[in-house]
Amino acid sequence: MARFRSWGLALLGAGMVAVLYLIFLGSPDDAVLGPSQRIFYVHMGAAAVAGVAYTITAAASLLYLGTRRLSFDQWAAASAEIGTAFTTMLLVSGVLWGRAAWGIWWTWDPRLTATVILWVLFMGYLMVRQWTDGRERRARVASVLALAAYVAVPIDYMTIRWWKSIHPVVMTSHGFNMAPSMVVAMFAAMAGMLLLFAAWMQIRLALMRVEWGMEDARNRMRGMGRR
Amino acid sequence: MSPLEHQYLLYLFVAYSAVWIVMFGFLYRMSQKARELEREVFLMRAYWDGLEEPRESPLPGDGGVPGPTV
Repeated sequence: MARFRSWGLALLGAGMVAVLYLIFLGSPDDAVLGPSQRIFYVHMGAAAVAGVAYTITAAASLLYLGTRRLSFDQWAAASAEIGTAFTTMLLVSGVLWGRAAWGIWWTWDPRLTATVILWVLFMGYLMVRQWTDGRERRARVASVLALAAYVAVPIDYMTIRWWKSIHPVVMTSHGFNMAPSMVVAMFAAMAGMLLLFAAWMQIRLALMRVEWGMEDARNRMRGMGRR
Repeated sequence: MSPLEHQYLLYLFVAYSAVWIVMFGFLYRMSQKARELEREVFLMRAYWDGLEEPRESPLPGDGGVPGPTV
């Protein structure tokens, strides 16, 4: 396991440099946007991680409700935290790209609005976790909330297909709406960021186990003091 | 793409790679530290469990602590 982890980290370290090379030097300029197009790869990578992270949160929440095993709640919480960080990155990169492409920082387009709603929902999820006492109670409340918030993920994905939007549709049923060399850079960015997500998850889960262990020790000490 | 633009992109690649390498260093250290903390909490829990186990009485007559010998 330790060897697997070391290899994973080495792959992440070197892989991300390769991804940066592809983004900056290995992909062509866009005919209209010029070099600003490169923001798009970071944007798509962040979007992929946010989608995967929230899906893990929803799946882990469902598993918690089914089994009542608290380790699933840890997975749900860790994944939601990281997913929210990547959604922030998604929004910031989107704003920068929008300024270059549309000439405005923000517009209440269906896709942009749906992404903000998604971000707010999961921020709320994280706040409720902070404010709720008792592991079982917190896990139960958070699981229900995560499943409710997850409904916004497929809606967010489909907004540009269901409603009139100025947001570009890159992945269509007929293939990709972009040059093949750009597709390579886009998938490389997604893979690199997913690896980063995996490394981050591993650290966050370990720290969460430590937090719970410390909490248990504190409670035991209090119990011993009373005896 | 003009040669100047290409040069700027090269600088950006070098700058972002340098930032990434520093961040990766932190990530690696965090990963090591998290594992170390997890191991220590595991040991602490094992220690607490040992403390809370019922122990045999060390009083004389119970076959506990032996007396002084010459």
